[in-house]
Amino acid sequence: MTDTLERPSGEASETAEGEPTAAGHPDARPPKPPKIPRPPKPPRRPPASAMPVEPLGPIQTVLRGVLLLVAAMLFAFAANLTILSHVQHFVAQQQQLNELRVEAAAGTLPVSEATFDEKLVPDGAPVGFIDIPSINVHEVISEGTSGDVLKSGPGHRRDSVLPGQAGISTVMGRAAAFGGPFSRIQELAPGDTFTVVTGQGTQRFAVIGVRYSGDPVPTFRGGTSRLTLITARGLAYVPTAVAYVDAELTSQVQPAGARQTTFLALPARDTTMATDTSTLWALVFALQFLLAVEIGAVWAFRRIGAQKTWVVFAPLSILAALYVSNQMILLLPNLL
Amino acid sequence: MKSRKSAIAARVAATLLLCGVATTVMGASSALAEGGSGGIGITVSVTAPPGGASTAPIGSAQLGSSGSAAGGSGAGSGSGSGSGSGSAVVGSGSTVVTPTSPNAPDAAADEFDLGGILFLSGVSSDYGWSINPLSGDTSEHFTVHNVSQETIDLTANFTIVGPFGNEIAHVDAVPIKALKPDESRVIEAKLSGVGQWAFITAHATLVPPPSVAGTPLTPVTRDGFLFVLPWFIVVLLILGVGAYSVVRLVRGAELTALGAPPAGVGAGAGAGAGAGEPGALAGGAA
Repeated sequence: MTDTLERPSGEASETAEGEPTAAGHPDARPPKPPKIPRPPKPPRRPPASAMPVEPLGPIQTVLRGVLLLVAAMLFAFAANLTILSHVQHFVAQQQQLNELRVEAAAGTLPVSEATFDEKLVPDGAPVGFIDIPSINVHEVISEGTSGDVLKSGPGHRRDSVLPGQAGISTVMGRAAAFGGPFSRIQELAPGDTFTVVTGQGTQRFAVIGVRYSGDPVPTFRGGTSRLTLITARGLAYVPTAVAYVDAELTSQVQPAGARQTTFLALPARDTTMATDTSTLWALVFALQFLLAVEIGAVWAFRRIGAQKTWVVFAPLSILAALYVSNQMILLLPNLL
Repeated sequence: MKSRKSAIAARVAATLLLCGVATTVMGASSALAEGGSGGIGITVSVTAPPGGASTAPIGSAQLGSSGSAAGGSGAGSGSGSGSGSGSAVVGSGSTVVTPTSPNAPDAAADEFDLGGILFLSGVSSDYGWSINPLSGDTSEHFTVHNVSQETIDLTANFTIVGPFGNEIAHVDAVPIKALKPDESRVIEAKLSGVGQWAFITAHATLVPPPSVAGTPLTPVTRDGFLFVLPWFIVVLLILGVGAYSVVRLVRGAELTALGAPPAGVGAGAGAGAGAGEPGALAGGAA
C-alpha cells in the first residue's frame, strides 16, 4: 500500500498508461498497483435485464401520474384521520374552553336555544363542559351534532334540552377520530358519577346503564332530568353500531329553556351516524385547489428546478391535502 | 409567443401561490385572534346567569326512597322487552327518539320504579402478559345493577373472538348468586389463550331468569374491544430485520476483506465472481 501511495508523488502518474507496464518488467508487480486508488463500487446485483425499458406512452404517463396522486391523497387522508385529527381536536378544545370561560364569566352561556342576544345559538358554540374523571373525559360541549361540530368535541343535539334541565338531554361524541372523546364511555358502570357545567351551574349525574340500539329505553319520569351520551361502538375507526349511556341527574333539576328545533326539524346530518354532505361544494373547491397546486408544481419543476419547487410547493400541497381530507372526513359517520 | 405564455403561466402560478399563502395567513390570524381571548384570568369561576338556580347536593329529594350508594336509583333498561310499570318504553328502533319537552313520557307522581329490571355497563378488558406466545390472559368484566324489588340469580357467559370472528376462548355460566335489590356487582371472568390475535372482541351475555316480577326477560349481550400488541410477531420481525442487516454487514465486510489484497478483485460481484469481470471493469476504467 505504501508503494502505491508514494508512487503518485514520486512520479507523474498522469503520464501514459503504457509507461508503468514498460517500467514494471523487472519485478512484475508494479503494473497492478496503479489501479487500487480507483474503487468504483460495482452494482450489488447485475442489471435486472438486458431488455430495454420501453418508454411510457402518453396515456400510461397520465395514468401513472393520476394513480400516484390518488395514492398520495389516500395516504394523506388516512394520516389526517388517524394522527392529525387529534391535534385539530386539541386545538379546537383549547379555543372552545377559552370562549366558554369568557361567556361563563360574563354570565352569557346559553341556557336555551337562543343566545343572550336573542339569536339562535350557532353550530359549534360552547354550551357546557362535561367532566367524567373515571374515564378521563374533560371536554367542552358544543351546540350541534353534525360531523363538522363533532370534530371539536362532544356536541349537544339541538332538539334536546341542555344537561341538567328538566327533560332528556342528548350529547354525542366521536369514538375514535378527533380525540375520540367518548371512546371509553361504555366503561361507565351503573352508579358512576360525573358532572356537566352549564350556564345554570354544575349538574351532577349518576350513570343508569349502557344500552345498544334496540334495547328498551329506561322509562323517563316527567320533572326529572336525564342525560344520554351517544357514541359509536365497534373497532376504532370501524364503527358498526351505536352505544347509548343513560345518566340521571342527581342534583337539582333546572328549568328548561325554549327549544326552536324539534326532532322532526333536526337536520339529517345531526342524527346518529349521519354524514354531512352540506359542504360538498367545499370539497369540489378543495380538489380544484389541490389540482392547481399539483399542476403548478409540475410546471415549476420543469421550469425552475427541483429545489425551489420543493420549497414552495411542499407546504402548499400539504395544505391542499389537508383541505381535501378534512372535507372527505365529513362524508364519514359523525360518531366515528 | 413562448415567453408570453410562460409569463402568463408564471402569473397564474403566482396567483395560486398567493391564494394559498393568504388562506394560511388568514387561518393563522383567526387562530391568533381566538387565542387572544385567552388573556382572561385562568381561574374563572362559573357564575350562573340571572335566573339560574343554584345547584343542589347529590341525592336531593327527587330521588326519594332509593338509597343507592351512588345516588343512582335506577331507571331500567335491562333486558326485558316490556316494562313492569306499564309506562312508556320509548322507541326500540335503531334510533332512539328522545322527547324534547319535559311532558313527554310521564309517569304517575308517586311512581319511582322506572320500568327496568337490570342495568349493565359495557365490557371492559384487562390484559395479562405471558411469556408463552400462545398464551396470555384477559380479564373481562362488566357491572350489573338490579333495580327490581327481588333478589335475582343470574349467570353470565363470556366469549372472546379474534379479528376473523374466530372464537379464542369462552367461559360459560359464571354464577351471579343472589343479586339483591339495588345492588351493583362487577362480574369478572378470566380467559386465556389470547395469543397473537391483535384485535380481540369480547362478548358478555347475561342470562337472567325467564321472568322476574312478572316481566319476561331475555339474555342480553354487551361487547368490548381490546387491542393486544402481538409481541411475539413483533419480536420475530425485529429479529428477522436484525439478522438480515447483520448478515449483510458481515458479508460486506468479508467481501471487502477478501477483495482488498488482490487488487480489488471481486469487490462487489458476489462470492462467485470470476477474475474476468473485475478485469473487465478495470480495463473499462482505464
